[in-house]
This record gives sequence, structure tokens and C-alpha cells, in this order.
Amino acid sequence: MAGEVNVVYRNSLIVYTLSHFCVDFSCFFMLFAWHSSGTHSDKAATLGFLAYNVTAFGLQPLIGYFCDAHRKTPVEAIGCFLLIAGLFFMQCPAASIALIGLGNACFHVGGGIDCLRNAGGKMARSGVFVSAGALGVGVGTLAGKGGSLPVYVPMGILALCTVLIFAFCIRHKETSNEKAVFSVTKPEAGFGAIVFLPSVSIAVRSFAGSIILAQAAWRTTPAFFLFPALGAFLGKASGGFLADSIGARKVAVFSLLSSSVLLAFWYASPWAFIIGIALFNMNMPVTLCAIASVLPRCPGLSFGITTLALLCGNVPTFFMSVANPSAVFAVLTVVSALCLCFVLDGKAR
Amino acid sequence: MKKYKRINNTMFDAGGPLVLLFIFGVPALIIVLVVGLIVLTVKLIRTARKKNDDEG
Repeated sequence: MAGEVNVVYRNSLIVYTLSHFCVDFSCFFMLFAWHSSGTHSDKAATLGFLAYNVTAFGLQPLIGYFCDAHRKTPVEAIGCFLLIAGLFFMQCPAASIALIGLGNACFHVGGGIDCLRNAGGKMARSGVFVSAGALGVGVGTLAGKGGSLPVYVPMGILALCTVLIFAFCIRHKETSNEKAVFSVTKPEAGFGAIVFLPSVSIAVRSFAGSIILAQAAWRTTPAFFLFPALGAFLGKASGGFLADSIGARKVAVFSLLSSSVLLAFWYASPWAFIIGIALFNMNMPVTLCAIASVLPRCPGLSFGITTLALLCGNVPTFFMSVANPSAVFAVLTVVSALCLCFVLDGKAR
Repeated sequence: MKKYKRINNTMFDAGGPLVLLFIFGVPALIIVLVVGLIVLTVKLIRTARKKNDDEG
């Protein structure tokens, strides 16, 4: 019986991870296909990307809270339907951006709830699920800019994902665990600190990551275009496994501090950058599970809190430029590591 | 009088973000939206915490 349950959980992780790649691929395919069409001003493009970010990241706490209260809602499948509709209405960018933003939010909440509820106290599952998104963003951007991929290809892929989600994930929702239980944080840390400090760490990391990425001029060359996405993918995927085996605090603090040195001083080298970005992203599953540990019955809301924190760090990058990005990045990364140091437990799982 | 006051307040609340949009532009509107989402999320966290504590 236990073996059967493990196979169900493993299958759902595979489906959610593949679908995550396809969902982020489709979103960025749409955004960059629109951006590359040249039918709009730069201001409109910025506004479009900002509107997408606010919709996709900002609505997740609300959708997550709703899904925690209504467990049987097939929110990830609804997300895929909304994304297909968004791609169908690509000729009308405002409607399309609203639909893909909402669809993306719904899918992430559904997948996030599954990866937290069925993790068995381990951080690896959430790291694996989230990692595929980074690759999807990179490949989707490339496909959107290329302009040769017909829109029915991502629509077909999403339709296939919806079928797989119904076949392997939705019907097992009722048997999935009720609570998402993690012991990642220090026993003496209070509820407020455990929610607030990782959220600040995520927001600071989101801002710092955006400013250092803009510094890497080599990323526009075709050979290195996917390097940042590949680094983020490797970091997120391995971060959970490492945190489970050697302890959350060690991974979060050492990966952030070492990435601050690598990225602040050697951002001009693609190879140093890919290692730095991987280290920089390793604490993503740690922060997610830390917040989820104090809200065990609300994994959807926990997932949403982390995405709202990402949005808070991302929005300022649309309106301001930073004078000395490397120094600011190094300082902010240390601040992010300090925030986690105060609340995370050092024990291995 | 009280009724009209309530209607006026509601109208201002609904139109507030639009007024901001026309006066300060898109950045102000986005900031208002994000701050609104943060406030709403904090309320949800409080409710969820209470629910978690009640259910054990």
C-alpha cells in the first residue's frame, strides 16, 4: 500500500514538473512573441510585463487561500485552460496577458500545494517542482523571440499537460496528505519571524538577482543565452536535496554568501555566473518549506506568500536603476543570508 | 445624510486608484495594487494562523 502511494506521489511530481516547464514556456513564448512583434511602444511592453508579473505572482496568495479551503478544486487544470485561452487571444494583448497571468498563478498554486502536502517533510520535492519553471522561462523566451514557432504548438502541449494532470494528479487529490509538515525552522523562532524573515530574504534576493542579471552583457549572445536559466534550474533542483542531507541553514547561508562573491566579482564570466546563479537559487525550496512549516494546513497560502515576496522584490526593478549593481548585490545577498540565519534550523532531515 | 456619506466614501474608494493613475501614472497604481495585495495577504495569514491553532 505504501509503495503504491509512493508511486502515485512520484508520478504526480513528474507530471507537475513537466507541466511547470510547459506552463512557463507558454507564458514567456506569448510575452516575447508579442514583444518581438514591434506593434507597441517600449512603455507598453514594460507595462505588459509588469501587469503579467503582478497578476501571476500577486494573486497566488488569494488563489492559494481559496484552494486550501476547497481542496478538491482542480486549480492546476483550470490554470492550463486559462493559458490555452490566453494563447488563443494573442491578437488582443491585454486580454491575453491577463489570462496567461491568471492561468500561471492557478497552475503554480495547484502544483505548489501538491509538492508541499506530499513532500513527507523533505524539501527536495518542492525544489524539483519549481526548478523546471526556470528552464521553461529561458526556452520560452528563446522561442518567442525566434518568431517561427506556431502558436498551436504551446496550445497543444498545454492540452496534453491538462490530460496528464487529470490522469495522474487530480484524482489522487483526496488521498493526499491533509497537512504539509516540515521541521526546517528553529523551535524558539516565533510565527511572525518565520513568515516575515524568509519573505524579506526572498524579496531581497529577487531584487538583487534582477540587478545582477542585467549586468551580464554576455547573456544576449546565442551560445550563452540559456546559462542563467540553466543555473537557476540546477540550483533550485539540487538545493532541496542538499538541504535535506546537510541541513537547511548551512545550505541557505553558505550558498548565498558564496554566490555573492562569485556573482559580484565574476559576473562577466558565463561559467562563474552559472555556478553563482545555481548557488544563489539553492535556498528557494528552503524558504518555501520554512514558511509552510508554520502554516501546515495552508500550503497554498504559504506558496503564495513566497511569490508575493518575489513580486515585491521584482517591481522596483521596473522603476529604478541602481548606481553600483555589484556592490548593492553583494550587500543585499548578505542581508538575505542573515534573515535566513535567524530562523533556520541546522539539522539534516 | 449618513447614507450619502457612505455612498460617497465607496465611490472615492473605488475611484482612488484611478485618480492615482491619472495624477501619478502607472507606477503609483502598481504600488497601490501591490500594497493592497500585501495587506490582504497579511489578513489571510492571520486568519489561517487562527484556523491552524484551532484545528491543532
